[in-house]
Order: sequence, then C-alpha cells, then structure tokens
Amino acid sequence: MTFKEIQDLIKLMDKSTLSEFSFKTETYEVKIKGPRSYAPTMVTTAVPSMPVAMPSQAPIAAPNSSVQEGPKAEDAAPKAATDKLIEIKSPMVGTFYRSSAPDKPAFVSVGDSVQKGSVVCIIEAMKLFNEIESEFAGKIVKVLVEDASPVEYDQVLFLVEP
Amino acid sequence: MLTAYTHFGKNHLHFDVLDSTNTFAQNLIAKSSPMDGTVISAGFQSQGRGQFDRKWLSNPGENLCFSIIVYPHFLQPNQQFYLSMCIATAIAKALENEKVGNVKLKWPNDLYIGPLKTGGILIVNQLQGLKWASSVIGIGINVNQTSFDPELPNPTSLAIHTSKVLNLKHLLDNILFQIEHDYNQYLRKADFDHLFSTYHQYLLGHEQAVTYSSGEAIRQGVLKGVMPDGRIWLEGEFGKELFANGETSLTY
Repeated sequence: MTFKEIQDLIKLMDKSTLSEFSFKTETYEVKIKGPRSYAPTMVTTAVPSMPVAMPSQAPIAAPNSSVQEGPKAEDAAPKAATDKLIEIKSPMVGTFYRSSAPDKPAFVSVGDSVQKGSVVCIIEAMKLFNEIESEFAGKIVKVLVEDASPVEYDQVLFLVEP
Repeated sequence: MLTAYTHFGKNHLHFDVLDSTNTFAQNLIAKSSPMDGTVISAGFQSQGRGQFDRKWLSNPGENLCFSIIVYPHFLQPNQQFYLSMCIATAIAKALENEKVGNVKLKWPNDLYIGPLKTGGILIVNQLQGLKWASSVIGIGINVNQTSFDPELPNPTSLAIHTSKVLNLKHLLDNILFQIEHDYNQYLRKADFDHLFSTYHQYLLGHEQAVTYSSGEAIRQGVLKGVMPDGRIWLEGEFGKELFANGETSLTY
C-alpha cells in the first residue's frame, strides 16, 4: 500500500461520518480511527517528511501538548469582535503552507502581531512559491485554512484585528 | 512612455560562500529595494535548497548557483507559469548556444540533458494583496562537477556531457543575457504564444507515450503539453486529464 493510498483513505475518512475504519487483505491491514469533533489533519505528498499527526486524543498521549504546536487551523476570534476584522485572502489557486518547510515554525499563529509586509504564509502552485505579505499591521485572530491544503482564488486565509 | 530597463547583472553581488543565494536575495528585498535584475551568486552554497528546503548540494567553484531579483508588476499572479516557462526556455537556449546538445525541460521546470538532470529552478514570489511585487529566481546548474552523490537518481553536468570544462563567468553572462532578452521580449510584451511553443519544443516527453498516475490508477497515455496555468495535459484511454504539480507521478 502506498503513501498516496493511505493519504486518500484519510481524506475519505475526513469527508465521511465514520469514526473508525479497518481494511484487511492477505498482505496488510489498515485501521484508521478519527474523532469527528476534531479538525481533520491534512497530509499531502508534498510534505512527506511531516509526521502524520493524528489528533491528540490518540491513546498514546503526547507528554506535552504545547510541544505539538504544528501548523493547524486555529480559532481564537472573539465572536463579538469579528465585524471589525480584516481578511487576508488568497491571490491565487494553490496549496497553502504556514511555514517555509515542514520542520520550520509557522510564519504566524493566532495572537501574533504582524506588520505591513510581514510574510503570513506561502501559497505554492506549479513549483512557484508565493510569500503572501500582510498589507496592514494588526493581530492574527484566526487562521482559517489547514496547513498543506488547497486554496481557491479569493479564499479567506486569515482574520486580522487592525 | 519610454522605459529604460536595467541590465540584468549590472548589479551583481558574488560571494565565495553563501548560505543560499535565494535566502540572501529574499532578505535583500525585505530590507531594501535592490534594482531590477540584481544578481546574487555564490561559488558555494552551504544551505542550498530546492523546493520545500530540500538540500541542493554542489562542489565549491564547479557549478553555477545564482538568484535574480525581478519585479514583474506587469503580470498577474495567475500568470506565474509564464515566468517559469520564460526562465526555463531562456536557460535552455543559452545552453544550446554553448553547444550543449539535447537540452530538455522536465515539467514543470527542471533542466535536463536527455534523461539526466543537470539543473533546477526555484522561484519565490512576494505578493502584496493581489499584487505581484517581486520575484527571486533561483537557478542551479551542474557545470563542471563530474562526480555526484550516488544517492542521486540521475545527475549529470555540462562538463560530463560536453567533455570539456566550461568558463563559469562566461556561461553566467550568456544565461543572464538570454534571460534578460526573453524577459523583455516575451513577458513584458506579453508574447505568451512564443513562450508556449518554445517550452513545448524543449519539453521532455512531449507527444510521446508516458506512464502516469491518476488517483489510484496507473495509466498509459501521451504527454500532449501544458496549459497556461502550468498543468500538464495527458491523453490516456479515458481522454484528456490535467494535473497540477504534485498531483501525478510521471514515468517517461
């Protein structure tokens, strides 16, 4: 079974309402468990070295969950304040990355201050890497897209409190 | 309005050793306003990288590794593949001018001689909102290196192929001259048809049978070419299929 096939299975799981799935042939067996309450963890072939971080409910408890600050969509937007937030949108179709490489820290996380010109993410398309710069200063209050997932033109990526 | 374009490489910073010419150029853009066509080159890159920070290893003083800073304000972000095609085809032409035969471009933009890889291009763009502000075009070409890490699948160099040692400065000047010419002639003047036809002339496997993956399936088909956005067009038993970089695995 290839990495791609495993990845496709995980994607199917993410889209389904299943909480558990197992599949067995003569040569191998696959079991996937995933709580529906957690955001799906995207895994793509573009970043094969990234550990397949299953949501941290997994039986093997992470010793310190704050260590697992891997890029994933974050939400800390106080609902009442959302009306004055500014959106950072995707200027193109591509794949959204929150860091310059799988082992690098995210450019920005919720709570971070950004300046005009700060790089907030990379969008890759056809091996061209686009550093998306914030056009204004403010504080990141929400990250709307999972690391390494596809984005459309004009899709909102971040919410920023000016 | 008459515009005088800056000569590519007029502003040229060379370092014997640099972590990465792309990183240096990106920092330069972040801190200052380097002139259009500024070139950063290094005799050796200690942290040379390909896409996703993959290591790019090269012996000191034997190869070309350089980055060019440009400001393609006249293009939209969705026209990026034209820049990629323009640079790749310009390098291919420059190599042919150096009497290197059988130069190919492997989709999307690797430099090949026949079936062997001799170089790569890594383009990093800076976007402000919907505006394409600047680009750092990183280029690495194996020139005079003749022995390679045995882990590499299919490396070659110009010296291996031509059986002679090339003058790096001369080669760099010729490549910069061709890139500058094509950038002004085809990108600024929006002559994208020319870029397309030239790219297809060099495209590895063009109009030939290839094996490719389509989701779970492995298919046979013909490599028909690329779309304006860079997706590859494969014609298999189920008709036309288009894939972006990373969505299919091709065997030539």
